Amino acid sequence: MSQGVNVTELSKRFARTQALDGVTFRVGDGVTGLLGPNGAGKTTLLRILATVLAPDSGEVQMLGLSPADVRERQQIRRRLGYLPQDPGFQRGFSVFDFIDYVAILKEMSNRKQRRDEVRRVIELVDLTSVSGKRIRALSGGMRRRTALAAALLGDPDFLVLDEPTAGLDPEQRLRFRELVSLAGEGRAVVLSTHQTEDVAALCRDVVVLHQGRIQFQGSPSELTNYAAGKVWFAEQRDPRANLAWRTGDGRYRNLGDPPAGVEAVDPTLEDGYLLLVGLAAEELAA
Amino acid sequence: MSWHVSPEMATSYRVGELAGARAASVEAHVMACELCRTLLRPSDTVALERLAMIWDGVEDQVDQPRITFIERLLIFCRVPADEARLLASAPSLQLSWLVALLSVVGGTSLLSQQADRFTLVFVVLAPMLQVVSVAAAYGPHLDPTYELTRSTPYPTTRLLMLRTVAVLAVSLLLTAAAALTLTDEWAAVAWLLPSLALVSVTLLLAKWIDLNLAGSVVCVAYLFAVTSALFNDATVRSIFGGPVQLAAIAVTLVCGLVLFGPNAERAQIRRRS
Repeated sequence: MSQGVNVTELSKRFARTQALDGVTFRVGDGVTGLLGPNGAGKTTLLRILATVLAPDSGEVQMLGLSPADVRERQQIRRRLGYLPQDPGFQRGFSVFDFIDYVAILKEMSNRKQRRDEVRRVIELVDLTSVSGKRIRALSGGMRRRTALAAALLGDPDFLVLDEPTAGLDPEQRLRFRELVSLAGEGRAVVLSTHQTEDVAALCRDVVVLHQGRIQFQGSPSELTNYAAGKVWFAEQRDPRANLAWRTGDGRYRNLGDPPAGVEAVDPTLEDGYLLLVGLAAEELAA
Repeated sequence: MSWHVSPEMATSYRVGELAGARAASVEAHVMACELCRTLLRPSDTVALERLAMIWDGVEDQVDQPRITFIERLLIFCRVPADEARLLASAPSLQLSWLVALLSVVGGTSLLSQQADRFTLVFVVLAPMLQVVSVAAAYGPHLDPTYELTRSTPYPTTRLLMLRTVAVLAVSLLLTAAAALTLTDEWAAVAWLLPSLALVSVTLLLAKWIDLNLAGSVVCVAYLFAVTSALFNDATVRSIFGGPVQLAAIAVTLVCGLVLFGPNAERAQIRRRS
């Protein structure tokens, strides 16, 4: 069992943009999903957790260690797996070459053990049949899995995955969910995503970030319950609804405080998330 | 069947001591004989170890990473294979980069044979090209795996310095080869010390800003400093004369002392993105 991650009053500013503003939360063992619209600060937060970026203020404790200390940061990096939002690949590298390259950076100096480990993670992400192929010849989904394999090298205690399901087809996403849920046993995994289905299927906890602030932290069912009694169908867009959209059967799904007499339907995680973020945006605008 | 594989023959086959024709006979026979096939199963430790060894060899051959020309060159220069791989992945050690560098310095030196003013252009360009090469060796804008590298335990400062040395060695060598064709002997060497000074300042600036940006800042400042001289019918000796060479030595030494001296905070080189 790992010691998880504690983030206290974390702030980060880029020029005029306040990317993170006093973020505090705790991540235990299991998968924690980070939800939020574009520009919410998810990637900044994950880059800080991956020790790539230093915060302006606040404190981070990962696996009982502080990344602010040079030596402890090295120890964290030895136990960390990171999948960046936009992983880059060396031109001309094959899948095997790239993962072997990352394994060298992860201080795996014994060539035999390193190559065995590289083969293990390639098999884990189901890329053995293309391990000798150049990465630039692969599909977006396969490239994503290549980067995921690199993150899984050395069986890390803490995994940071930035939008890992972007570009994956439904079958690959299913395979990915299986992989991540296995990875989440006995270790902390933080993943950011736009897909509320991934959070519902995978995560024990969910954190909603909006404009650099935490709007919610709890279980997926608690986030779903946030919209309990606030979802109803109507033939027309209801002017009293905070959010509404036309569904496939031609009716409108309305979110907000329902008018008297309408029958509320069971909410989904997406309803809870949209309502929460929509209300937060209204509050900020006001 | 007229014959069967004897236990001695089976053992010899398993340990690889059976000669070609006899081994082929055994292989042809066991295709049809279940009884003899059981004799050849890897039942002892020797056979299992040999099998594992052969399998490892096959896997190693199949998964052999592609080795680039630069990587081969580094390994030839006794750089350990793992570090050669990390160095050869520097953007400014890719073949396309080196061809571009050679084209610029080679082209300018050839033009200097036709017109003297290109000798000055060569000497002005050469230090800037060294800075650009070093700045492109590692950083958020040109190294595709920069973000991932930063999250690994491999010391960033070590990688930065190793790549700087490797890139400078190749880049200086190519520039020096082109400089040999210059007819002005002073011009052929006048670029070297300013190059080292500018690279040192770039590395020093990388303590506070990322290397790509540091290189850009140094190049802009350097161009600003030499541009006015270029418009005033300057010569190589008037711009890169003795005082400038002495100043270059002083700058290199001071930067070297700050970067590698006893009070150097090497681990503190900032790697902003």
